[in-house]
Amino acid sequence: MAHRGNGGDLRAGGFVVSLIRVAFARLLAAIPMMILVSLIIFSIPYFIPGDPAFTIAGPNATMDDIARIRSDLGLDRPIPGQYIAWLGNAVTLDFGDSYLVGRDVRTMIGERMEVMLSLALLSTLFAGLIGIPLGIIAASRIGGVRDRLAVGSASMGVAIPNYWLAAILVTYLAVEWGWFPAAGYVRIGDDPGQWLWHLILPTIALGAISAAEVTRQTRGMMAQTMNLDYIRTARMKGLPPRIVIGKHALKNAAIPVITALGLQLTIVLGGSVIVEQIFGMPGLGELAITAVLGRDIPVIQGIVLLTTVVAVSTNLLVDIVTSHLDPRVVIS
Amino acid sequence: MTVQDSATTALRVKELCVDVATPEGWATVVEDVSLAVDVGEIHGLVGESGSGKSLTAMAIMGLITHSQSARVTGGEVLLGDVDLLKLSNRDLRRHQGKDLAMVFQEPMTSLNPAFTVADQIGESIRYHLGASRKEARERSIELLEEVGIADARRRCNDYPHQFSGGMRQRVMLAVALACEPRLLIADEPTTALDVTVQAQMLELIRSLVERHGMAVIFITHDLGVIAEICDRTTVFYAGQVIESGLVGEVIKGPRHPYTEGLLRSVPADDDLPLWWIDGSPPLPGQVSSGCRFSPRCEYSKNECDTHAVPLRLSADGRAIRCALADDLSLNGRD
Repeated sequence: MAHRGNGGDLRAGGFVVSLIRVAFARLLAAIPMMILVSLIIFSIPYFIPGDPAFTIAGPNATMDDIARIRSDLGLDRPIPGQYIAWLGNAVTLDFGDSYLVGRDVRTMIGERMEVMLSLALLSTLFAGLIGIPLGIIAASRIGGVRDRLAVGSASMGVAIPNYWLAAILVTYLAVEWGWFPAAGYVRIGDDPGQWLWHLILPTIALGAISAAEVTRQTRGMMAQTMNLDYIRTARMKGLPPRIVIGKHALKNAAIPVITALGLQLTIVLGGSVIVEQIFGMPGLGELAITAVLGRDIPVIQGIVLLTTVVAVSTNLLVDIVTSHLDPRVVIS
Repeated sequence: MTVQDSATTALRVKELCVDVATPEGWATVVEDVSLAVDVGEIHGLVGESGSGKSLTAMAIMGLITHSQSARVTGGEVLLGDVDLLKLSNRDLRRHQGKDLAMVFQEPMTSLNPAFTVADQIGESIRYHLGASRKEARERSIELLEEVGIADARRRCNDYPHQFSGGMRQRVMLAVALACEPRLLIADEPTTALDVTVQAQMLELIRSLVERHGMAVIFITHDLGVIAEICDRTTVFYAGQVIESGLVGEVIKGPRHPYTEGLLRSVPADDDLPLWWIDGSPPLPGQVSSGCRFSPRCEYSKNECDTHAVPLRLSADGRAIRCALADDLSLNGRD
């Protein structure tokens, strides 16, 4: 697109163009990182103790059995050759078959990805919907009653471990009072209502810490922003608080808040392992634990790669939104 | 430049008092300040940093009500017949940005980096005058042209960071003028700008005042600037008005020793050594009961420190807060 005037207004050429530019630049920047990640994922079998061929073959196997398994898996080939072959498959999401169950890893992960994505997205949404308004309310009068309440509950929220909160929620809201299902998962395609119903408690358990963190972040940013000169200008214009706060302060305070939300999404990915277990959900967490305990290398590799991709795409999304919010950010 | 005899008063400030929070409690930093600004008049407030001139302006603009570190404790701010200090926040907002507006000292930070300048200029037009988005935009372009932004139709879509400091201050002026306010407050609008740009800015403000016929409060610490564009001036010292009058008269014939000291401190063209006033102003909450300038005053006598000195009005419209005013013969500048 053509540059105009002082460095050119990115949006003059259309929002979509600038969006594609940002996305493209970030994707290029992500390539070296993804290569590094792929190297690490590939090396997992060489770093963990024990030989997968032994594991698969079982305790009563002969040395011949083990050698056969090794050659089947390509473990006897030179390492660079193994890496190239592995990478070629990995790009097409082909990680081979599970050592333990013998099923295609891609299918196994695909079945369980919905649980993880539902949980991660809903918890992050929950964190944003609770944390952002709470932070704004708290910052509207620093030191006031509502501020102290918000800060107090946020500090508590950050301190509460998600497994404890999950256990409490299950015990009371599900088992004792029967308001929510205690366990299980319904696919969104089967019954969206039941899907949401089953996800409410896990979402709260998983998103509470993030909501508290987002509250603190929003409050801090808003409080800082409200003291800036351009907020004084907005007040000078006689604009009502909803415009001064909702327009002038929020758009500038939003950038670190959105960055924090993105970070929370990746943290939630990790937290979901425990929460899935407590709520008996057939998610990736359960699969990951089984795979790690059974040294099921292809499954571990698949899961690690998938989580990396989710984390990288989250960052990409955050970058795009941020560059849209702040006209000073120019992606070169 | 002289004030027309028939001029009507646009703003009248009566006995305004402002306190600020200090570690020792509330301290009065603006004390019994009274001002009158006529339509079409540029009224200069001059004084050192901390003398209370900016806080006076913030109080008039109604920006102190929001702050926890300062509060207005008394007085009246009459814009026409309305006492702005008596209004609720909601009613005050109807006047802010519409009947009175302000240009701040910091052009680099006073505009919101996240919105285009057209948006920020047009905002008060839309909010106060109910203009449509399109009307506000057209008006913003006119205003940008008026404050001397070249190629305004294209530049109005730019963001503040795409303008230089001087240009941003012009944009800020357009923001303030958007609803044709009756009173414009300019708080050191040229202090942060390059010297070459300062003169252009002063010229612009003066031409805008002539065209729009508004009243202006112009705050500066530079008596040279006062001499250049103001009609009347009020000199602040330690939160009090110490002298006030027509600019020409105050500069040629100051009647308060502090004003004389300020005038002598303006660098001259000749080779005289630079003059300064020894000492520093008293801190808030640590003022003496007598004349506040007395410790730094070369004419000071014992009587200066015993009684509070009232602001006396003389027949020619001057106001002086000095017990010795009638006995002193002070030197001004030409």
